Amino acid sequence: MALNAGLPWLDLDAVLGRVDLNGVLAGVDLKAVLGRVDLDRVLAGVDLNAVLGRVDLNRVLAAVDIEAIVRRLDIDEIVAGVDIQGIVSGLDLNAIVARVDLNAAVGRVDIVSIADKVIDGIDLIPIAENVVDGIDLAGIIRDSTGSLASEAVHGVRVQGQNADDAIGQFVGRMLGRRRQLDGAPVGPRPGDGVRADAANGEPAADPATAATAARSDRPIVYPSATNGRYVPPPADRNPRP
Amino acid sequence: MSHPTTGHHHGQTEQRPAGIVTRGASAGIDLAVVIVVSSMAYLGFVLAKLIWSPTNFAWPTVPFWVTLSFGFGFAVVYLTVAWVTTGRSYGGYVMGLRLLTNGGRRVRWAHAFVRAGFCVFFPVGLAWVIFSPRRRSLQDVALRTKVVYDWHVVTDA
Repeated sequence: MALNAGLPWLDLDAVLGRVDLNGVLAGVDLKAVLGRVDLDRVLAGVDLNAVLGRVDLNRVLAAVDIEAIVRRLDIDEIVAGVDIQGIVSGLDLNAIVARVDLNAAVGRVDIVSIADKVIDGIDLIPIAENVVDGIDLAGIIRDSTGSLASEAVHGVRVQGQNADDAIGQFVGRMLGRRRQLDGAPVGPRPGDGVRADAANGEPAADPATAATAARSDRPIVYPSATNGRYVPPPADRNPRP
Repeated sequence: MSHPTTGHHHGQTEQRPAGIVTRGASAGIDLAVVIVVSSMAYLGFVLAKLIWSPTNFAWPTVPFWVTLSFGFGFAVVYLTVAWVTTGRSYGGYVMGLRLLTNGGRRVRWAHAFVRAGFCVFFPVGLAWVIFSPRRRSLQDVALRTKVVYDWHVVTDA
């Protein structure tokens, strides 16, 4: 009672102003205090549903920087941890494919436009040039036409020579002329040179020409000449370098 | 200046004198060449005339003697040049013939020119090839030339 009577006179502000709260708090063993608190009992008394009901989650989530969180995630590490093989092996792909309407899928694909895009994307000219460069077209044409032409000309020459010989034989027989077996005329053998002219009753060679021939430039002598008989040409008349 | 025909790139060739068939064929081919060239010359003349005055164009009439002169003149020049340079005209090339002197050389300009004129103005002389034991035409006998087979090309060793 005496305390109650004395309180009105007590200047609490002055008292509290003189209290060293820091010193008091420094002396308090908060750990010991908290150790004596029965939090389970405290929490059991809290109506969490009521608390959460009063929390504005939308406002909380709006304040969360999700992009920053995602940036900090190591996706590679997460994916590396996923057993994709296991997932795929567990899939029944046949069943999945069987349920796909491929006709409808293909029908929706614009193959023509895709092909056009592919073709537009391909530079055909260099490819064609490479292909043409790879083919020795000139050589092929040269070989084919050359061989055709040379075969034709060769045939004409052989036929002409045979006809010459046939006529030579015929005329020689008519005139009773001494002749060679192949119908070739009596004349100088290859390499007989100019001397044979006089021996066959023909006019002798121009003396100046013959003298020149004997002096320096040899008359043409063909040691391996075939004397007009047909000898098959070598297989490769024009060997490439 | 002589032109031995032993061209190293030609290897060795047959040197038998050619008979009437191949020489006749060669002459026929040369005649065709002359006709074709004369025709081309005429067409060229027509074309030039057309370009020069297209409005007054009319097919030109060439007198016969001009045609004949051109043909003969061209034939002589053509054979002369061919014989001097390669020893063979186009007909000779196709039939594998070559014109040589009796000494086995290529003919020279004057020689070739005289022979070309002889051949062009007296083609019948070729017929003597049939009877000549050494297959010579009258031109060959008179001008000491010979025409030989020259087509068996042997590759150089």
